[in-house]
Amino acid sequence: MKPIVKKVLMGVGGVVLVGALGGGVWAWTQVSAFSASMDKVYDVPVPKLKVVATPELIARGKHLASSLAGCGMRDCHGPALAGGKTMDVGPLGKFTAPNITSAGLGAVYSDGELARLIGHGITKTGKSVRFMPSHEVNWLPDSDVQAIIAYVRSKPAVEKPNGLFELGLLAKILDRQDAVVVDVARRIDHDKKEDVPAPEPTAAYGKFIARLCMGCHGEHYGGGPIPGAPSDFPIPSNITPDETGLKSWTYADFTKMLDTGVRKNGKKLDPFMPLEALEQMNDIERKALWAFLKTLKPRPMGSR
Amino acid sequence: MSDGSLSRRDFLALTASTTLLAACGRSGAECHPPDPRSLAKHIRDKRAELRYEPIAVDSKRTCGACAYYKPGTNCGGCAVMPGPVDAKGSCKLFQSG
Repeated sequence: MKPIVKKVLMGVGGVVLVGALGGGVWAWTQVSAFSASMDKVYDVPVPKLKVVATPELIARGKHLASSLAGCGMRDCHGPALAGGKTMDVGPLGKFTAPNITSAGLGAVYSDGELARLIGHGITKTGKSVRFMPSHEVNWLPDSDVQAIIAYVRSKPAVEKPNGLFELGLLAKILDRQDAVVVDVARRIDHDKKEDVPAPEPTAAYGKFIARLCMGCHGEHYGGGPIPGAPSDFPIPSNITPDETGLKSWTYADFTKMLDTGVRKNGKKLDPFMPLEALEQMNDIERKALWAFLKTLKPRPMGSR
Repeated sequence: MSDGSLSRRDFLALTASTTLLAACGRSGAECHPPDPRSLAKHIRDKRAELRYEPIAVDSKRTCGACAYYKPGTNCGGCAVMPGPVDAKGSCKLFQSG
């Protein structure tokens, strides 16, 4: 081998080695920061709360749990709240929401602890919950949080062990890059009290409902691949009023999609879309969400 | 061992004492829980409700492998169940990850 070729190969090898070492150190710092943040005990007191369940409160809680909060979806705690199906998100990990009936975690959480969990993403231990989207529902007023708790308590005990929960290394790194949300409590301003408008068909109310869409469609609602998800994972659509999004849609198209799972172009929605929750939204919620989506600045597909 | 080399007898003695020390160290990390009757009734009731067992039936679903387990110097603890917890134990709230 000529000396010059040898020198070039050694140089390239050195660069690759330094790059790999640097990448390894960077990944290690990200994972360490993730672990430290997940170990943080938040100084958020458990509210003194004892929910007095009434049929009306339970009914409201049932509506919220099956629609806006989505607790009863198959991918979340499941219709019986005894644990949902396992979501396999490739290198991000495998996730199963636990059994929250009184035969599961419902047995060890007080009403106050459940309210803190929903509102702040903080578990019984005082540390952050993993993946549960409290940051998307923490705007719900106290009365709605109590309604959800009343509904959870009203469900029969189901003896079912908790399913698999495996957090991949990539999920920890992407969480620190704010590309996915695992460490939920870190995303919440625990001192802020949201000023939520009354449930009316307004864009102002719809803005809060639309937070539920951010996890998949992105914080700007521009859609595009979910970072870190496998290549065969469905790509969330652009739901801004752009040519590539909802520009040509009418409210009738929107509600038809919610009711049938079929888009304006006749194509079926991917089953990953939480249609079972969306179709449970009432008229006020649907109109509010639609009103808000129409106020968005048009963005190109993929701008998330 | 006067010449500084290790005789076969010295080697065997060293190996035996090291093994003994290691065994002692390991037994120190094992859980020796208090008599369950010494626990407060509400703690005993909660542990019974959660079907805590000091030895797990399923070796893949032990407290030591559970997300709620908190290691301790003697027995460990649990984030959701009161009282001391054996890493080899289990309850019905096992959560992987």
